[in-house]
Amino acid sequence: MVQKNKQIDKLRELGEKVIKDIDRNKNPSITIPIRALSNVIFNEKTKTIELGNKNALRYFFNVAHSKKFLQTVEIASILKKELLETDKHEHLRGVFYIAKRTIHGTNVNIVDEQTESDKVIEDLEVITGLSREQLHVSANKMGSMVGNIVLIDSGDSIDCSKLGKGGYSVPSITDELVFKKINAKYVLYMEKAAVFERLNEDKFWIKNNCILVTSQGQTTRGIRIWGIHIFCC
Amino acid sequence: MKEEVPIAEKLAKEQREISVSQFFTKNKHLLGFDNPRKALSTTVKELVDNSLDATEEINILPEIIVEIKQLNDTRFIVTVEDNGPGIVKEQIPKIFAKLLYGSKFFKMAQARGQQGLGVSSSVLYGQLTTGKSAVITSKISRNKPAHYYELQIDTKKNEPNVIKDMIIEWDKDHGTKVKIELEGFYQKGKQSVDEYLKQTAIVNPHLNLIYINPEKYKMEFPRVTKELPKKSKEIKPHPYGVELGVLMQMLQDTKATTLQSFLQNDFCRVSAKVAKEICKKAGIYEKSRPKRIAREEVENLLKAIKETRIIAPPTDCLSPIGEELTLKGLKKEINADFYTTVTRPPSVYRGFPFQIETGIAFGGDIPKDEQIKLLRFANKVPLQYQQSACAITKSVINTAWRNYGLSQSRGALPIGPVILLVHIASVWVPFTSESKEAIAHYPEIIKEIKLALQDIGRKLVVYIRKHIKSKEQKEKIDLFEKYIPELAYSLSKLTNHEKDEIESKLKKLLKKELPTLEAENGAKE
Ligand SMILES: Nc1ncnc2c1ncn2[C@@H]1O[C@H](COP(=O)(O)OP(=O)(O)OP(=O)(O)O)[C@@H](O)[C@H]1O
Ligand SMILES: [Mg+2]
Repeated sequence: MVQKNKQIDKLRELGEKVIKDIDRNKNPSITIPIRALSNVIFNEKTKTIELGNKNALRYFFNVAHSKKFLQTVEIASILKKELLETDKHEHLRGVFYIAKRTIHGTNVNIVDEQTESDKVIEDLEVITGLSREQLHVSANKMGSMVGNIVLIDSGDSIDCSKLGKGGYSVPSITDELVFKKINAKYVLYMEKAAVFERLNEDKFWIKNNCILVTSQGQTTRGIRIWGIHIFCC
Repeated sequence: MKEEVPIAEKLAKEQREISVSQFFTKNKHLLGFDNPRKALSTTVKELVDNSLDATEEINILPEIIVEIKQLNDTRFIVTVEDNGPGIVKEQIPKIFAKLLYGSKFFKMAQARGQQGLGVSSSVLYGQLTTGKSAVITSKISRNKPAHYYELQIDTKKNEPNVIKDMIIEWDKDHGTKVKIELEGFYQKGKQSVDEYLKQTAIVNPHLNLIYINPEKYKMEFPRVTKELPKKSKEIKPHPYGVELGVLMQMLQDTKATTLQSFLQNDFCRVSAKVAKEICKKAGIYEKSRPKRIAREEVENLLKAIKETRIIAPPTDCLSPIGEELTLKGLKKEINADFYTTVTRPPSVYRGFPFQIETGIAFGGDIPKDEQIKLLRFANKVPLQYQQSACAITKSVINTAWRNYGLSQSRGALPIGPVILLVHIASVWVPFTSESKEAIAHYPEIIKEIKLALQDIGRKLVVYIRKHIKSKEQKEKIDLFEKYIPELAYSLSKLTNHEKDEIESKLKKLLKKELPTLEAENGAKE
């Protein structure tokens, strides 16, 4: 539970900063690192691309900002109260539905499109420095896997060579999967689920001693994180 | 060998006199009789214009009655009656039954008519399409009889043919009534008689007009001011405005005995010094007899005039409607939220004084998402045809209306809830043709129209900004008032602070931030 407290604290911090502005009779603002090409640095050491330290301020009393400001605080409170504190997870779409309600006395919704709440969740990731998964928001799409690999998922031991046509459903959050046994030479990843099914039918992974993974479309974060983990072990 | 007939002799046999009716039939479109619908509205227009000119001439508030009686699908009788000065007996036949006979052609004074063609061409059109005579009743004073005439035009000779000439009782002190039967077509809407009369009422707020339409429906366009328009004054022509043919004619007609005195007396703004300078430049002896000056010399004279600096003509001769009366006119005929008008100071093109006026009605009943409605006027006469050929339209299109709060695409009229009135007053309005429908594209005129439009545009944008802004401002504050409880609720969930406390603090903050909110225009993050 120590872990969760850190996330909750980070979100609360954001709220406390706004409260402080209000108490000081200042136009409340939220500081957000800019996610644009102009604020991207290549880190030589880790060989990764990172965000620089340019920030933008989002104000409440500003016609162009106020709605986004409200969305940010509201979604932060949803993540804290309804996900982290109760130890539940939600998909992006789920968060959108929780946030979507009409502002009292108007015909304005807090969010109208999922893209709005998705954007705010991205904002919250860079504000808190925590990933979406750490904030208990899971990716929408999952994937499938077959091959000579045994995993432990929430205490259950799963042998991915004995799961028939469908294979193992890769969960959206893969951080906590444990690899118990791997007996494969390589991983073959494909976007197209149809190709995956065909290769599985042909028992391609048995003949070539590999693991087949698909994400049913664009690679999900769960699969990407899983990929990093399997690469590292 | 057979003897050849010289070509010139062959051609000579083809030469013959052209009767006015033949000329008219070929050139109907030049005079505004292209089709039955237009013929009907042109006839009404020519008669009403004359009545307005006539009442203005004697400084009297015009009372005009227009009646259009429909006899069958295509046959109409138009009657226009006024309380003008009337017409002396001897002149009645010529005025109504002889083309190119009028009092205004040689007069340098602002009037609706200028060619001496209007009413007689309506009479001719009626005669050619129905065979019927024009019926005129006119009386010049209380103690004189009223004369009743039935007239036809002798189309071979262009002379009046008097069918009936009587004295009748008419219980009116003075005035004229004209009745013309013609083939026409009646339709309401754009470019209709109804529209012409409505627009006439706008720019003549001192006019009391009664109109009985073909459906026997009686409409009144009441007078909204007893103030008569400033009377236009006749001025002598300015040398810069004169053309070769006219100059030759003037030299023939003049009473002056020397060229110098001709220049001084028959033109405005020509002093002895200027007259001498012109003669010298033209290489003509200043004491030459005007009637003796040869054609080539007249050309030199014209060139010399162009090369001599002569001060602009006087401009106090014009009779603009005026900002206040234009406003009254717009208000009485158009239901809008905002009205404004601009009368420019007079200016000069080619030696002719002219003046531009403009007015705007905004909002109210006027459709929002359509192109603006442009009302063009020349000497207080609505111009209903050839909008795209007109210098006024060109000037409106070339004005950057986006600066004045309207949207506009390139090369088009702006879009918005606007009726835009543009009036040109001049001693000689340069029309593109005899039908007097579009203003010619003189750069000086276009420039003045644009200045007028910019003046009025600035007034419009002030209103739009204030009006629309204050509405938006209210909506903005409203929105924040709605957002505040939501934010307080979210924040209290996020931080465990008391919702009500946050809310009341935010409300106080809103008051403080309001001025900044008003100033900002939605700055980006
Ligand atoms: N209702 C009227 N009362 C008094 N005089 C009139 C009336 N109608 C016409 N006239 C006289 O008859 C003349 C001829 O009229 P007409 O309409 O043919 O020509 P215009 O008005 O001078 O020029 P335009 O051809 O431009 O109309 C006028 O100049 C005016 O002097
Ligand atoms: Mg006339």
